[in-house]
Amino acid sequence: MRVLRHIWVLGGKELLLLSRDLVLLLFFAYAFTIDVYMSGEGLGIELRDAAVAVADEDHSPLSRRLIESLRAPWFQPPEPIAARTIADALDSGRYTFALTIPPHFQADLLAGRRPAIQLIVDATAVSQAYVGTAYIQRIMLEELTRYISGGSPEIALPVEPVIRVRYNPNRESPWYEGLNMLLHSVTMISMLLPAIALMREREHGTIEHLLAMPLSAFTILASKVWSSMVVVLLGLSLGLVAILRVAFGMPFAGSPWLFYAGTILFLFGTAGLGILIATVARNTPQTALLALLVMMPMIFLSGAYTPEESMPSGLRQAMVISPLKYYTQFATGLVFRGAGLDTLWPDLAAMAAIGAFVFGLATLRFRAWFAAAQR
Amino acid sequence: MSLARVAALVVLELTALMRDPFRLTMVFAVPTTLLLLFGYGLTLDVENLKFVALDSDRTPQSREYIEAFTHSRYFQNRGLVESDRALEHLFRAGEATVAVEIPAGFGRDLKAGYHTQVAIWIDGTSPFRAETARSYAEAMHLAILGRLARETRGEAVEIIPASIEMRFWYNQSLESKYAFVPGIMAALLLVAPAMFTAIAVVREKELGSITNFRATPTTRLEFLLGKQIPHAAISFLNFIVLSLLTVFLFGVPLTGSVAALTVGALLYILCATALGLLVSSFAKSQFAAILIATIVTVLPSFVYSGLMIPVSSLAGGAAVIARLYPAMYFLDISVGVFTKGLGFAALAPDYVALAAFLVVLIAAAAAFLPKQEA
Repeated sequence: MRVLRHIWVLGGKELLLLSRDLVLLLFFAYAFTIDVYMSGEGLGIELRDAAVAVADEDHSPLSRRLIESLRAPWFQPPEPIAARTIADALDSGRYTFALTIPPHFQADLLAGRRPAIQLIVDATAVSQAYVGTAYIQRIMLEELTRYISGGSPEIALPVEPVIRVRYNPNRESPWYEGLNMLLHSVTMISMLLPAIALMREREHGTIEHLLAMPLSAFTILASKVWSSMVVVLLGLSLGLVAILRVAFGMPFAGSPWLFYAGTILFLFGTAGLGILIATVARNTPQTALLALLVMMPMIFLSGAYTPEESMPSGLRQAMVISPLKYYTQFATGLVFRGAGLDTLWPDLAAMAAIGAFVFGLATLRFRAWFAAAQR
Repeated sequence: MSLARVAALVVLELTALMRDPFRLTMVFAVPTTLLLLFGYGLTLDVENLKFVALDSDRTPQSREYIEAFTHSRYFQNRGLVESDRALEHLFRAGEATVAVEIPAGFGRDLKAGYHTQVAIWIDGTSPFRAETARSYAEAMHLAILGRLARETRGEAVEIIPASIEMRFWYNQSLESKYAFVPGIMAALLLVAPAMFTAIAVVREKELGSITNFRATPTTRLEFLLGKQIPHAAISFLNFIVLSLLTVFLFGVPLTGSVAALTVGALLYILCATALGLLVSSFAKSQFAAILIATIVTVLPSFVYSGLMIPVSSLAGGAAVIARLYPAMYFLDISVGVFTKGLGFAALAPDYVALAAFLVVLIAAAAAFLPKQEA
């Protein structure tokens, strides 16, 4: 009981310290809300306002129809340019796509000579190049078929593909991008808080005060962990409710209780990593460096920004140790697909195992350091 | 301003760094390691999509349809399922990204020339992957139809009367690395310098050694420059290391002007360290400095810089933030010089923007740093 009270009081001290730094609290609020809102609203990987230059060398009704079919919100109004200026136009970075409709296109099409439209893509904008090329291709084909068949946009295929997108059917990226950003804010802050809190005590020598008191290493760690968990869980809830739920209208398909239970497992892992970093580093700058080294690969290789399947297999295997990989699978599965414990247990088990291992290791290291300091 | 005092402060800061060999090593090792990891790891080449099929027809035609998918390198065969429920379960568990469902009677209808359908399911959780998977599936479908029609009815079928030829410029194989590696370098050259500079200043506040500044004739600007210059110099060395790795390890050719890249990097690094100075003026403690620096650099430098998504297609607040943030301007320079072969003239607006950032950031940092304790 005494131990619990110590943990309670020491954790309360951390929260009190945080609550006095208004600027820092504002930045936290920013990371959990405005950042989530902006990335959700702005980061859609779908095509938006893509800049297209068009060289129409045919000037036929068909070529005009094709050009007009590139509409908002996917494309900016196509700008007519001369075919020989295409290279300069793309160099300047003003356009991502340049479309050339060759002379006699309509006549050749009607005569069955299979003319070709040329599409040049600035492939340095990789994501847009992929998605935009597919869009333009689909729009052009639809428009061509409509022209040939006299009005029907359906391609008269012997077998019609009925394509259905499950979960998030309109591919609403605010939900996906917003949730990912929120998970990443959670990851960064939950790892940094206990790491720097511990390091601060070491640098200021206030850990000597703690050493002089009848406290165990476990008590000190537990107080740092619960207080930072409270901060992160509050921020997470704020972002989930105010931004994702209210502002973006994201449906929450799974159980919120399970979501929080999984989150706490995840937070044990990140807090453990933070503490481990603080025991390896000697001062605050070192702590920050090590944290960057751990945090950034976890976030950017988690599969949220680039498809996980396409990572080189060595790295993909290395990411097996990242708790964020399981947390992302867990959260997207639960929130978007409504998965329950029956399908999510492997992710939960993995997070528990990683959390137990990292946290155990961190405690051992901290205890050894603590014992050495007490002597 | 006394240059001698600035020089003395620079020497002081560098000496402190030299005496901390672990930190000194990490200052170089962290950006290098991250470039290696991200250079190999961040790629948008969508391959190995998890593919399952539900074949209710079980005719040679339906098998051929499915095989075309499973033999493609874009799809990774996860086998056949027997029922809708099993399919549902795989999707829910994230074990299937694309699924094809072929109805009974498919082969018969196809032979008879009746109109028939197949259902293609796609997991839409990740919009980018879903969009790409959809276009692969559509292209695959058209290709298979042409072949099936030829085999079942013995006639060539022209499905679309025209073609669309695609050329990918600057990056013909549409490989992410040509765009990504120079971009990642730009992001890393913001995060690390800003973080280190911020900590260096706040550390003095927190450990009390800032009295040295308060008790001497050192001016605010001298103090800030004394912190900024050493970290900018280290970051410039980092820039050289990262550029060499980009060219020699990743094989991204430097097609444009080396001078244009170097000048851009210098301006940018000064901006990044000045951003660190500004963070330090808000932060009360190293604790706050690290957290604030992380929040304002780590995600924004990757997300709002045009690295993942071109700035032209960002929307709303993100589009505004991207323009108020130095990363996109150097990313333009870095990708422009490496991959597009550009020089000073084409990139002029980016240099102007970076120079403007530099002035504003330094002025703001100096204005916020109190010479006396409040």
